[in-house]
Amino acid sequence: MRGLLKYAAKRIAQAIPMLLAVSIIIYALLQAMPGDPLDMYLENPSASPEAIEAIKEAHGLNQPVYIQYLDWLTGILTGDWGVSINSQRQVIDVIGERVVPTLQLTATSFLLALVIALPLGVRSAIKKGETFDNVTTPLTFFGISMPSFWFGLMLQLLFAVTLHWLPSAGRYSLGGPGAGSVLDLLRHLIMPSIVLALIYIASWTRYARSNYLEVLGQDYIRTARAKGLKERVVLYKHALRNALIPMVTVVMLDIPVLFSGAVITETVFAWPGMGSLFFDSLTKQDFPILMGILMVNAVLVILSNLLADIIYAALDPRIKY
Amino acid sequence: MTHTNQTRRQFVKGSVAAGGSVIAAMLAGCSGGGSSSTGSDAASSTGSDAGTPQQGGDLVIGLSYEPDTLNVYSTHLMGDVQAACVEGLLVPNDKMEYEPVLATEVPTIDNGGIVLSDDGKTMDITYHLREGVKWHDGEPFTSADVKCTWETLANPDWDAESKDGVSDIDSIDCPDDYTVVCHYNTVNPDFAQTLFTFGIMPQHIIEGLDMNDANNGYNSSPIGTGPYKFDEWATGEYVKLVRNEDYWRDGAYMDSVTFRFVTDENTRINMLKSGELNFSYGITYANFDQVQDIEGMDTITHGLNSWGYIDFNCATPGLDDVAVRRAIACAVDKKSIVEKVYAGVPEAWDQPWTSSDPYHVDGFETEWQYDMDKAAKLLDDAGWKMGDDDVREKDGVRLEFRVGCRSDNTADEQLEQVLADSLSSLGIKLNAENYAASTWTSMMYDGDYDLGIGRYITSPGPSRTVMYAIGGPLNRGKWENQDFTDLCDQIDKEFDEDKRKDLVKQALDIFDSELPQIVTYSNKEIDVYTQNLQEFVPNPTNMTNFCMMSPWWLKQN
Repeated sequence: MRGLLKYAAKRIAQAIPMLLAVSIIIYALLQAMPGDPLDMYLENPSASPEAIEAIKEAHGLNQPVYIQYLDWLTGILTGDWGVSINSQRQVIDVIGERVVPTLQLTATSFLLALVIALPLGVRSAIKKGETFDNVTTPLTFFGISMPSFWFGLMLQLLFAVTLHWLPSAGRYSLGGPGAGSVLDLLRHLIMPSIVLALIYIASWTRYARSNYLEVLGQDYIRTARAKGLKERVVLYKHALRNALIPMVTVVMLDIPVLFSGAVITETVFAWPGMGSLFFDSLTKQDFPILMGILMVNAVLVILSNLLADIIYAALDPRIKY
Repeated sequence: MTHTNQTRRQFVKGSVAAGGSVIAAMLAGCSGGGSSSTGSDAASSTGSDAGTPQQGGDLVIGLSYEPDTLNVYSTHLMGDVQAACVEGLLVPNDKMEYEPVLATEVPTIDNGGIVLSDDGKTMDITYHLREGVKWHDGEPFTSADVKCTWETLANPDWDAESKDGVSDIDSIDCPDDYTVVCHYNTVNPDFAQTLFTFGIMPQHIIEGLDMNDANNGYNSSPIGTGPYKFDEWATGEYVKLVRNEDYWRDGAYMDSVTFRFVTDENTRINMLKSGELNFSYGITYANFDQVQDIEGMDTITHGLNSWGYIDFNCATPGLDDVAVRRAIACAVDKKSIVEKVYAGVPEAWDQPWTSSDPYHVDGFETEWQYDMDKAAKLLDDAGWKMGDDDVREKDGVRLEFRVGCRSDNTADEQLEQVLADSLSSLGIKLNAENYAASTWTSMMYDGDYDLGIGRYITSPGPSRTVMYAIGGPLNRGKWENQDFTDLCDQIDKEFDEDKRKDLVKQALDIFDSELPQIVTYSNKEIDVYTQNLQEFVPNPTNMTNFCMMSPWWLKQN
C-alpha cells in the first residue's frame, strides 16, 4: 500500500511537466486556427479600428503569442482562468456552471455502458457462435458505426415526437407538474445518456468478448476444468476475474473520451454541459474558454491513466509498485 | 463620414436565417429536394379571427444561439430576448416604417421634431416622451434616462458593440422630464437606426456601473419598460421573461415568454413537433419541407431586409474588367437557382434594396438577364480569347478564380457548383474554396477572395454607403465609383422621401451597369409558431420579430 502511494505521488509529479507541455501544444494549435475571435467586429462599421484595438488591448490579444501564453499560464497558476471574449464573463464561472450537468450525463452514460457491455460481452463469448452471439455481434457493429447525432435525432423522433414519452432535449422541464425534480432530470437524461453510452456499449462489448475468449483458451482454465471444478466456477471466478483486468485499462482510458463524445451529444440534446459549451466556443473562437475546457480534459486523461494503473494493481496481485 | 448602421448582429441574423449549425448543415445534405410550395404569406396569417385577447399562457421560443449579453448595445448577436424586455423611443414596424414607442411621435421636419440649422449642416431633434411609463422596478421613466443612455454610450471606456450615431450628437438638453433635445453635429435622416431605437437604459441602475462587466447588475439582467420583464437566465438552457403587470399600454397578455437555446436545428424542429417549443424562426431553407405540416403549427415565410449576393473582388485581375463581371451575371439563372438551391423560399431579385424595403425600385430588372449567348459575346467583344485548356485569357490574365462561402452553408455551396458548371462552358474556371464562418469573414475583409457568396441584412433606410461607397467599411471588393459614392452622400443627407427614391434609382442604374456584386435574391425568413398565437406580425428588420410583441396573446384551449 505504501508502495502504491509512493507510486501515485511519483506519477502526479510526472504529470506536471506533461500538463505544461500539453498546455503549450494546445495553445499553439488554437492560435494556429485560421481567423481571430474579433473577426466578428470586422462586419460592424460602427466598431472603429480604434475600438477594435481597445478590445484587443483589454484581452491582451495584440501581444506576441508567447507573452499571451505566459500571461495565461501565470493566470491559471494563481486561479485566474481569464475572461471569455464572447460573454466577458470569468472563464472559471462559465465552465464551473457546466461541470455538474456534464458529470450527470457522463456518469450516467458510463454506468449504463458498463452495466450493459460487460455481461453482454461475457455472455456472447460463452455462447460463441450461438444465436445470442450472432445477434449481439452485428448489433455492436451497428452501435459503433452509428453517427451519434443521427441516432439522437431518431430517438427524439420516436420517443418525443411520436410517442410523447420523453422530452426531446434540455435538462429540466420549464413548467408543469414535477418540473425541476430528480425524476424530471432522469427523464431528460434517458435519451442523451443512451446515445452517449451506445458507442462504449458497443466497443466494450467487443472488447470484453475477445478478452474473455482469450482467457478461456488459457492453460489455467483447462487445468481448472481438468481438476473437476464446476463450469460456473471456472467461467465466473477464474476466467472472469482475469478477463476483467485488461478491461479496466480500456474503460478507464475511455473516461476522457466520454467527455469529448459529449460535445455532439450535448449539442443535439441542448444539454447545458461542457460539451455544448465547447462546441459553441469553438465556433466563436473563444480561446480562454477553449483553453480551460481542454486543460480540464488533459487533467482527466492523466488522472484516468493513473487510476487505471492503480486499479490494475489492486486487481492483479502480480503487479507491485 | 455618415454612419449607416450596419451592425454585426444584423449579419449574424443573416447567417442564422440561412446558415444553421454544422450538424444541421450536415443533415440538410440528406434531407433532399426543394419544395415548390411557397407557404402562406405573412399578411394573411396574423390572426384576424382573434377576438378578445385572453390573458395567460406561456410562449416558449426556440433560439438557435445563446445570447452573449442582454445589453442591447453590447451584443454582437441578435437582440431577440432584449426586444421583448427593453424598449426604445421608436421602433421599425413590419413595413419598415418607424412608430413611436416611448416617444409620443416620430420626429420629422413637418411636425417640428427635426430642425435643420440655417447652413443645413447640423440638426436638432426633439423627442416628446410618454408620461406615466415605469421601469420594471417601478421607477418612473424620464428624459434623464435618455440622456444617460447617450452619455454612457459616449463614454470611450465602454467597449460597446453598437455605438452608431453616438458621436453625431454633441449634447443633449432635457428642458423637462418628458422632453429631450439632441443637438447633432451633422444631418442624418436615418438617425433612428440604432441610437434610442435599440433601447433606453435606466439611469438609476446603470449610472456609475462598469458597462464592460458581465455581472454588473444590468448586462445579464436588464431592466426595461417592455411588456415582459427579465426573470431568470439559466446559462446553457434558457432566458425566462414574465409579464410586466404594470405595462404602460394594453398588452402583455402572456404569463411568460421563455427563449430556449437549442443550437441544433433538427432538435429544434423535433421540439416544435413534440410541442416543447411553440415558436421558432429562421429555419434553414433545406428544412422548409420538414416544418410545413406540423400539427397545431403555422409556417410562414416573410420578407427580411436582407439579400443574397455573389460578390466580386474588383481588385482581382480579370474581375477588374466590367465585361467579365457582366458576363458572369448573364450566366446566373437566378430563378432556377432560387427554386433548386434555395428551396423556392427567397425571391429572385436584382437590386440591393430588398422587396420588403419601401425604397426598392419597383419593377426593376437587371440589364444582365440570364443569357449564355450574350455572356459569351460580352467576353468575345472584350477580347477574352479561349485558351488551349478551355479557359479564356487576355494579356496573360486567365479567367480562373476562386469562389468561396461559409462551409456550414450547404445551399451556398450548391450555388458554387451551379455557378462553376455554368461558367465553365463560357471559358471561366471557378475553384471552390470554403472556410469556417469566422475564417471566411476575415478573408473577405482582408480582400483575400475573388468571388464570394453570402448575404447582407441591414436596418431600415436607403443608405448603402458602408457597402458600396469608396472607403465603405463593408466594401470588401474595393469597388471605386465616384458617381455612386456621390449619390450615396446625397441619399445620406436627403430628408425628402421622393428625392431619396429618385437618388436610389440613379444609384441603382450605376450599380447595375458596373456590377460590383450580383444580387441573387431578396431574402425571406421561415417562421413556425403555434396556431394559438394571435396578433403575431413578423418583422423584417434587425429589431427582430419580438420588438412589437405587446399585443401577442395565446388562445387558451
